[in-house]
Amino acid sequence: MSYLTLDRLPFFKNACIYKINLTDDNSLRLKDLGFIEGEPIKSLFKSPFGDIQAYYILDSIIAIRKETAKNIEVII
Amino acid sequence: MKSYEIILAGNPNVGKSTIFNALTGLKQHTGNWTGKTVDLASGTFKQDDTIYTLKDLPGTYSIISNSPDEVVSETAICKGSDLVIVIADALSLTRSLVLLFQIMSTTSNVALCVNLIDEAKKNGVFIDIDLLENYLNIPVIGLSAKNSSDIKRFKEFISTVSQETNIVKPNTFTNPNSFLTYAKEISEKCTYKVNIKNRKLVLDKILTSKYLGIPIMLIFISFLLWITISGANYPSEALMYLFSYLKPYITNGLVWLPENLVSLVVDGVYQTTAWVTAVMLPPMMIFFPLFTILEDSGFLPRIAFNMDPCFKRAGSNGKQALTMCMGLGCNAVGVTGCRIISSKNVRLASMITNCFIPCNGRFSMLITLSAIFIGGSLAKSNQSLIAALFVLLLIFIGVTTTLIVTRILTLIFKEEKKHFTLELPPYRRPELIKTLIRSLLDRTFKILTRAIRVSAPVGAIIWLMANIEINNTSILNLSADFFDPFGRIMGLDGTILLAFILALPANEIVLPIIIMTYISSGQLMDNLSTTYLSELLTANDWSAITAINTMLFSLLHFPCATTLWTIKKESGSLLCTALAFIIPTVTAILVCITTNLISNLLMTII
Repeated sequence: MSYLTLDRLPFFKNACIYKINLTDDNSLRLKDLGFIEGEPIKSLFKSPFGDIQAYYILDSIIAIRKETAKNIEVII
Repeated sequence: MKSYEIILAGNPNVGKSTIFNALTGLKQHTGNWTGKTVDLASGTFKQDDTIYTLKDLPGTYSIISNSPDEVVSETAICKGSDLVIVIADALSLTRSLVLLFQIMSTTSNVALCVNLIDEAKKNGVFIDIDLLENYLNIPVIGLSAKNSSDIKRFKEFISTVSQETNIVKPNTFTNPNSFLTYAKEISEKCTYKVNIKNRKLVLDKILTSKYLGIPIMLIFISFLLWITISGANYPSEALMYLFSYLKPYITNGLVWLPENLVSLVVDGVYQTTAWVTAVMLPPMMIFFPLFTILEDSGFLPRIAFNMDPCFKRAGSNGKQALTMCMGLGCNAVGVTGCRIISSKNVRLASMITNCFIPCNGRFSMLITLSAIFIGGSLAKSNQSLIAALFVLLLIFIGVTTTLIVTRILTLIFKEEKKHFTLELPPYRRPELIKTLIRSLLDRTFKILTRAIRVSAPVGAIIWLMANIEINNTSILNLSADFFDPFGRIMGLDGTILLAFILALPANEIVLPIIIMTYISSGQLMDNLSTTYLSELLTANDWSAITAINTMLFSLLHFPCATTLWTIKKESGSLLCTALAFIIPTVTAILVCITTNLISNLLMTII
């Protein structure tokens, strides 16, 4: 078991969201999409220019940017 | 007769609009990406002497509003109706249940419809509908919207459920986190997974790969443009021939009218309208169905995904790329599409810059001119390919300008920090025949009627301007002379500039106006082949530079009246509308002056 931020999660590794370090109202949308504590998550693929990355969460593929992923801690 | 009002709600991309179309028979366009329905669509159907009014909401993950398309959903649900049906995706039931609970907490009379049952079965997922109904305590139906017997069943379901009153009492729990826990619990209990397959990622791996992603995207778009250019040539000429064949018959039919009036109708109105139709119809009939197939397959969100880092550097996000793709068809559609962007300032910037992407109305001219002056005179072989590549280069210039102007605008507007999220829906095989019919009806027909409505009166105006004379010179030529010095600075001439101004109602008619003014009899020649056009333009001092400047001006100049009106409606701000007019105009003038200076400089050196 180890903790790391979501942007550093290796591809296709099963992980679980542990903590979300976002307090602003803007994280509401992330919550709607399933980014909440305890949710399983998997990293899938990256944009050709990097920065934005697609994740498998709650049976869907959702892409978020690195700046957002940095604030999400996961356990593997 | 009894009537009920029913709202269809659901997550994005669960096939709500497909169900809506199947129920009402109303042709509304659906696409395989978030935010396709950006406004309330409504339609009716009759069942057992009762009228049901259906309202199709934009897809949303939450009714706690985030972007304007979600506000539409929120207000509609809160306003109350006889029944809210939540459409769920069988493959991501949990997500749909969260929305269901949110809606159940604000309103009573809710029913659930689990769509895409067939697709789920293919993926080894089975949903126990009866069990789901038991747990939720509301009416539930499982179906596959593509199946017509399922739609029949759904109509019966709606009529039974509407009779009941107060299906659910408002829920007591309000914490969004507990919604998700509860949703997961129920969906786990009701879902049976046989032979779990991961969703196919092969396509995504290729389309978003580091080295192939961008090239594949470019190849797709250039291929689309090339097919449009080369495929439209022959039908365009055939239509032109047909229209000029019909002309004498129309003239004969109108002999009882005064001679001048006949000329106004036939040479002014009929000829212009015929020209616009002949030039516009074939490319639209090829471009729109192909583009719709791209849309329905789920390819467009991948473009947004690939392009996001570029747009991020411009202070925007990948969803702007989606609105730009919509702008390729029609800028007014692109501006409306900007609703999918949740950040207000990025949305305004996207609206203002949308006209830098050439819409279908400008495409025909870009294609014709580039076929004559770039493909025709500069290239020896593969003429249509070279012409297509040049149009692609123009689009590239348009995209670059969009990014630069967006960067400036978002700096001025002071962007508030938002976390950008993008949904990548699963790929779906588009239904080819339906796509063809729908895009013909929805888009081609709609845009063509608009073009005709606009070109007919403008044809009359130009005929009048060409035939009313002051001191033996027509008003048309007088105005062209007036604009000539301004045009020359930009490497154009007065006629071209006048044409752009007169064509404010619709960009389609720029070339017809130019031709009419050159012929100066106020009427188009019967046979307008490319060869003839090429001779006419060259005879009026057009060089490759003139053509390039005209194309650049067309690409970058002010949006058409419809687009401006849409921007006013969408932004609600006069300032924003004014900016949408001024910024492109200034850009176009500056760019044309620069290219003209550079080309003049090169000429003197050589």
